[in-house]
Amino acid sequence: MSELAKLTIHTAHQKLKKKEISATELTTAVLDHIEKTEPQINAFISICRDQAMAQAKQADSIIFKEKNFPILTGIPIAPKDIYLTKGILTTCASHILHNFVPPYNATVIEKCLAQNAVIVGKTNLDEFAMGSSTETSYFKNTKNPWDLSRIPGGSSGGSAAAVSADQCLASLGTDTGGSIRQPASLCSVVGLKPTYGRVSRYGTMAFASSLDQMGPLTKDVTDCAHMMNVISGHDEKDSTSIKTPVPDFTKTLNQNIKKLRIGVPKEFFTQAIATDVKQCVNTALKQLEGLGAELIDISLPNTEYAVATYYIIAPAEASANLARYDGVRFGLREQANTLQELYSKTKASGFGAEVKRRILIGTFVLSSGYYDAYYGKAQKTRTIIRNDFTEVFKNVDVIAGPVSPTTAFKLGEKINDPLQMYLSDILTLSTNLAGLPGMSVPCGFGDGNLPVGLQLIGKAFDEETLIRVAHCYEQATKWHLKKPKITT
Amino acid sequence: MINKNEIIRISKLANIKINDTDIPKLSQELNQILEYVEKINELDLKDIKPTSHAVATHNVFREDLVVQNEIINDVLNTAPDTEENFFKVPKVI
Repeated sequence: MSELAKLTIHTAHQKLKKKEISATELTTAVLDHIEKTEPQINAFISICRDQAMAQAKQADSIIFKEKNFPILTGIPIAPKDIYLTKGILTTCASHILHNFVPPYNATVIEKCLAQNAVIVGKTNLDEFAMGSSTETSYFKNTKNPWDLSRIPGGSSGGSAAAVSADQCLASLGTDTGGSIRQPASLCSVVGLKPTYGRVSRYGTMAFASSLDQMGPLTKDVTDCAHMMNVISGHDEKDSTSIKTPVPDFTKTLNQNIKKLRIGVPKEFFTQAIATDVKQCVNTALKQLEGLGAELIDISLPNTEYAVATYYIIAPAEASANLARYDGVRFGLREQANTLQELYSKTKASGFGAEVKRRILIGTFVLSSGYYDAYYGKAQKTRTIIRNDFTEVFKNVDVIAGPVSPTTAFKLGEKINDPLQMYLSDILTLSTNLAGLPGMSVPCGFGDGNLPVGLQLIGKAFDEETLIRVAHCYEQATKWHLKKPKITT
Repeated sequence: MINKNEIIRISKLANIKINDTDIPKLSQELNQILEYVEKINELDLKDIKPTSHAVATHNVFREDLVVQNEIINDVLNTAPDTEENFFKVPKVI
């Protein structure tokens, strides 16, 4: 393969600056590599060669004229197919949006395009981001580049697989219950879910609005810091985005972690967590200690209630958010004689099984007579879970543990058992319920040479510390340099 | 418990047509999920305030400015059926 596709954002940026390469060469190399590897990986729903080449040419004209240009100029990225991209098919991996070409861009996409980033394609996901394996996609199953018989994780599985297989320099994912961190962990890439409100949700299809947050998937931590610089910040189009200063995340990247207090929750190391995952994470914790951090045993006693709380709140919000896909203004429409019939037939054939299950559960827990028993109570358990974190963060700076209870499982292994699939999110959901930032950084390989991620959870709006710890760890261990072998 | 009648009730509320043949499996799956989420009943929730958003914001206002947005045609182009500047649907009443 061309060496160019292997580049990170920051190394490519330096080469573009020194005029060693052009954006056109870089984009061509990435697109050619996608063409070669895509039959094995299946990470993309759309590949946009013509648009990407035009964007690269445009970027080259800026690079030719300017000595200094923004970090993403001429950089090939591949957003999850949940971000609205003007003029590019955006499906959310659903039959109901199989033909939807949005008339505007998501704010995050606008920010990347303002820097003349190149969009090479849109990556696969679980339908409406509902799943942990990318198997609920209407279009295809994405394979884990480390073992093609296994899932890449989800819901941002296409994004993680594409970054891991060098099919793009970086991707943008979304995380409602672990959808950036879990696939990042299973594919050995860096994934960050920022604090709720740090990044605008405008123009990204809503799943559960009080939990959804947009974030990057990258090849290393430095790129993660750069992407965070680009996408963060208040947006008046998203009333839940927060007006708070955005630091330069690359500034503190190289600071050490001496005396940093890292909390290790005992609930993240129970019998439900596979031995090989625990071994990798325990080794990583010792390495962090070796780098000067102080490990502190902590407890997040209500972790075991996170899955139950989440699977009431998220479906409830989803049932309201997905009501808009009714066959009237966009997407699929089934023929019908009455409006009511049009809605119900369109939704019946447009949504897949998992999306229907969640809409029905959500409708049930919000319906008259059941609201207090389910939704009302779940909002209270959400408070309890949040309070656990508030308490713990009085004594520690960061929390560390595994991301996923197991390494990547086999395709088809859990798809017919919704509850088992839900339980694979047990270590990631609580940060969404609490709105905190969480990150996955590669920390080695378990049985069968399958990747394991180290999860770092921070205080609200303290992504800086997460990125610093992750960078310190990455530079000491270099796990990010290990790449899957893909035979083409 | 979500029985057949309950499935019919919520599928009507959600506007999703469910085939009779799919009801037994669906009802089994939904009950399995509900049984699991009822785990929250183990907790004492007395005097606990509900959380609707992790980062609370109140009364987010912006200037009420008129913005020219000439995307009517782009928006209508994504619709399955239109007439003039309207979305067209089957007879409502």
